[in-house]
Amino acid sequence: MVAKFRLFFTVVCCSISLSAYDFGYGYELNDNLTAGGYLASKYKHTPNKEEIELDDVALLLYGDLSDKLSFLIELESAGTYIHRLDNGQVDESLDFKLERGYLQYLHNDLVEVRVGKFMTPVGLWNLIPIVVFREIAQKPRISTELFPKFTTGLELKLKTDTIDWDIIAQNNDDIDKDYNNFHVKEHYGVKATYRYSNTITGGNIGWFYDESLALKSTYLGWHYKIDKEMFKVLSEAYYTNLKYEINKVINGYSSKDFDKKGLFIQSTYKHSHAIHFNHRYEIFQDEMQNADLGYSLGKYEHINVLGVHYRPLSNISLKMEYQVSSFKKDDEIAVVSFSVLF
Amino acid sequence: MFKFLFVVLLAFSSLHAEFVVVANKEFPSDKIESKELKKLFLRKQKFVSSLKIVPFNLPKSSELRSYFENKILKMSESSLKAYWMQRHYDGVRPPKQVSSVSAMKNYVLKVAGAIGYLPRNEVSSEMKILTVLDR
Repeated sequence: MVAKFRLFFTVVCCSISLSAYDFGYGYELNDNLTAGGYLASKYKHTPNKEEIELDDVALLLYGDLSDKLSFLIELESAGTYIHRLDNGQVDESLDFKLERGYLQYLHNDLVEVRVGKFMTPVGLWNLIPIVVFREIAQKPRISTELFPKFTTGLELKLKTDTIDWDIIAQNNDDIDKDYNNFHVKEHYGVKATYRYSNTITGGNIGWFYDESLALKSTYLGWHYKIDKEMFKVLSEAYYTNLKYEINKVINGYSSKDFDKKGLFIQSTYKHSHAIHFNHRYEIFQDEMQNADLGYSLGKYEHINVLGVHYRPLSNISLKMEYQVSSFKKDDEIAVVSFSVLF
Repeated sequence: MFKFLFVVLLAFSSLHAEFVVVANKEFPSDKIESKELKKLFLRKQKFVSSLKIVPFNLPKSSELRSYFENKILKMSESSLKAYWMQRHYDGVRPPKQVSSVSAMKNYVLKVAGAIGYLPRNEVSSEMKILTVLDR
């Protein structure tokens, strides 16, 4: 493990020392090949545990194969080093998985096709998958529980004068399926995005089948972002219907059919380029969780996160934040996060 | 005193020098709008007709580059940095950076689809001038 770390950091340090390297923009191995990566670490304190974590270690390689054909590979090791400060337990695992890996054919500026594993084009948050780009390190619940984060299949991107379309299709197992939030066997979806001035808005509809859970799910989503000189607002709302093939019995409640829905509004005040103050409010309804906790199925959870984000350099992010939930004491979380893009 | 006036006049004339956006002679159009130029230099647009476009930038220290980025891209240095970091993660590189005005001339002359910017007095007759920008 230590040897693997040493090797990784040697590679990173060597690349930094090379003259073609521009910190934060990757290292150009040649005219058509670029390497990069990122690290994310955090200190996390909850009522039940306190830990430091080297959360993500990732390597990125991309380039052009011809004028129209390009590729991208992203390998990531998540939960690489976790040290529980409350009980001294240490977990180490440098196990790289394929986060993204695709071939991209650019027919022209209006039509693009991707084949391989890619981030599911849902909303906006799901397409900012690394902490260094995010304003808040903690993920909204609706971004992790309602649709598959990754798709292994085909993506067609179409641009018109007013609307960008993303159409996805998957009819096979995921690559590195344990690295996705669902074990997707089939997945189909459409996203429409409308941009004007500093605003982006749009919606999603999709359907997927998780074989391991015997689950068929339909999801609907809406997203909105406005980015001005002094402030930024990001908001997303989703509804998912989960249909199991057999009855799920949760805390005495039995059904094949559950809903999850929620909305978050994340507001950023830009004090300066380097310092941003953030707040996110999320309202979430999870019928399965409510059944498990003995609540009425329609009860809403309210989650608030307050944080400050400092960027000493554009590719380095330091965040301090505090999250509280109306439901679970465990979700009262204080986080200090450090991340860097190479 | 005369020396001082000469320096002031020289600085004044350089501030008001014309610069031009130039392209390789195979570039499919004879002119370009600022909006399209911005898309090409942000790599949001990669083709003109069916020709793959290769934008070139002068070094970061170049005044002409700063002026071009302010006038055409209309983005602050910090916004531009943040933008290219996000694009790096998406697998898109920024325009190639050349070392000097003469290197820019060479690339624009030799690379099909090349587009860049130069002081007007550096333009070769074998290039296309797509637009003129006053400083």
